[in-house]
Amino acid sequence: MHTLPVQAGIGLRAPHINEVRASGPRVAWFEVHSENYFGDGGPALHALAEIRQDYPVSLHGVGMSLGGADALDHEHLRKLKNLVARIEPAVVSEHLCWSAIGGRWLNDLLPLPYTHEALDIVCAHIAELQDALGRAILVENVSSYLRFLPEDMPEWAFVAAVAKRTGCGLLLDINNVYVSAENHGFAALEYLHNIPIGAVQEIHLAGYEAIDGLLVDTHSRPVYPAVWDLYERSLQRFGPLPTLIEWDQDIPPLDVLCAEAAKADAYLDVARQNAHARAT
Amino acid sequence: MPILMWPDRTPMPALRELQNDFAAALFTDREAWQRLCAHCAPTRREQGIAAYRRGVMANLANAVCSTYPVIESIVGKDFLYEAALGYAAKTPSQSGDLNAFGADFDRFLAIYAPTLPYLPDIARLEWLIQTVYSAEDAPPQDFSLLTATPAEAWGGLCLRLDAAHAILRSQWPVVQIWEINQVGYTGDFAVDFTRSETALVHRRFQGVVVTALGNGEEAFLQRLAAGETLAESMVAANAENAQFDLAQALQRFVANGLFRKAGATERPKTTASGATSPHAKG
Repeated sequence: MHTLPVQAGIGLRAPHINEVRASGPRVAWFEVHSENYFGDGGPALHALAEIRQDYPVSLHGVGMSLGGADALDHEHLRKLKNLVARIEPAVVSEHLCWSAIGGRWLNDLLPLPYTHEALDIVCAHIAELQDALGRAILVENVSSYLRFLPEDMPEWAFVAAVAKRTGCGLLLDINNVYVSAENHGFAALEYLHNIPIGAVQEIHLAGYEAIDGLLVDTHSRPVYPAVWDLYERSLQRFGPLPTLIEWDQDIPPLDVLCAEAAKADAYLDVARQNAHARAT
Repeated sequence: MPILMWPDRTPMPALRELQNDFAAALFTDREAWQRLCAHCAPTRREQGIAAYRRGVMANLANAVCSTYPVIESIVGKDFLYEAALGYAAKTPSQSGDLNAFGADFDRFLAIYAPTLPYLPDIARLEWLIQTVYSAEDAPPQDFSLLTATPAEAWGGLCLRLDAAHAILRSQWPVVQIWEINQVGYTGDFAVDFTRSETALVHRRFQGVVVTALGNGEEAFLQRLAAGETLAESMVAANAENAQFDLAQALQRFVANGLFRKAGATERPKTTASGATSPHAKG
């Protein structure tokens, strides 16, 4: 099984697929949304399989509803399993959230209450998914605009417990940590310092928007300076890690995404040098 | 972040209960909204619920809009988005895959835009295009049995069709309306709305092609897709069109790749995206 290189990758979306196939840009790896390739065949799947020949690929799911009180949707799971078998991705990841209840799908990354019950449910679902796929997955912390009360633990303790109990890796979205910290008034650094070092295997970076007094994780902007700073601190704590630039709305030209990736690569180079200096 | 105590000590409800209230609150159930608020930190909770409502509705509406570009070309972007929002508010999503949302948008449009009575059939056509686009891949064409069989015995053979196809019979000129709304179309824009058309939706190479089926061709293809023999299918085609030209039809559907394989009188399974699709109604 191949792995993601410790470099910056790009979230590959439909407007750039033909350009990537035609020009073969110098991008270290690509991540795609799993559900966009759930079809039985056709050009989209072919394009992904072709790109997979030339680049490491990560499959990032947005619809498994790991934190839902409903049972996992077995049809959804079957399609993901087929896709994983077909693409043989370096990484399979999902979100630490819920998206459906009572059979109705809300198709968004909805926040969990950080309770023991929710922890039990999400861990059982992650274990079921990992068993079905025959491999460990990564789970990503989401942005949140609501905080449930009373909670049994802070978000970071919930995230750390998920990794410890299920053996899954963590996909740490730095922008999401920042957005939630600003919305709920906690210290982003405290969050990071409570995430176990060995568990984090991938980092996400994206841009948010301020709407109605809240920061909203829109993936529609460049990465903000405060998030780059938090990224730098994260690399100091967790070491250099595969890092993804995500952009899902108002998607700019591929060059803009490549420039953001190059910026992340510069941070990764510094982190590597610092890690090397500390080791010698 | 300290663990906050809830001032009135209302215990957290079971996860299912909380998520039920959350979902209902997003669709403007006032009582659920109040129950949800009772379990949220008070700072900007109304804005928080509103942000999730916007996010959910935008995700659903955008999924619909991306499936119906020809509807957008006809009615405009803003009209379609408003219609998609209305549809999303009334139609529970049944899948974690947003690409699956919007299957019965045609029925919504029939009520939402009654002054454009052909719009539902265009929506049916666009849904079929999306379905066909990601249908299973076809095996290589194999007509070895056809060439090995004397022409007079062809009537007993069956033909397996590409799974990536669908047929839509419409009382409207759906193929023409679809064509003139394609980017770069430069032909005649005059549409005779009294004309009816049956559309063949078929994936070829990197995209989906929409063409009109001639009189008798639909019956011919439907019977073949159901596993009937060439002879049986031709009888059905002739019943609709006495001038049905078998040789011409065979040439067309072999050349465009719709026919994949000649076989003995086995009954090939019909496909979800094929001619028996529940969406292929007219």
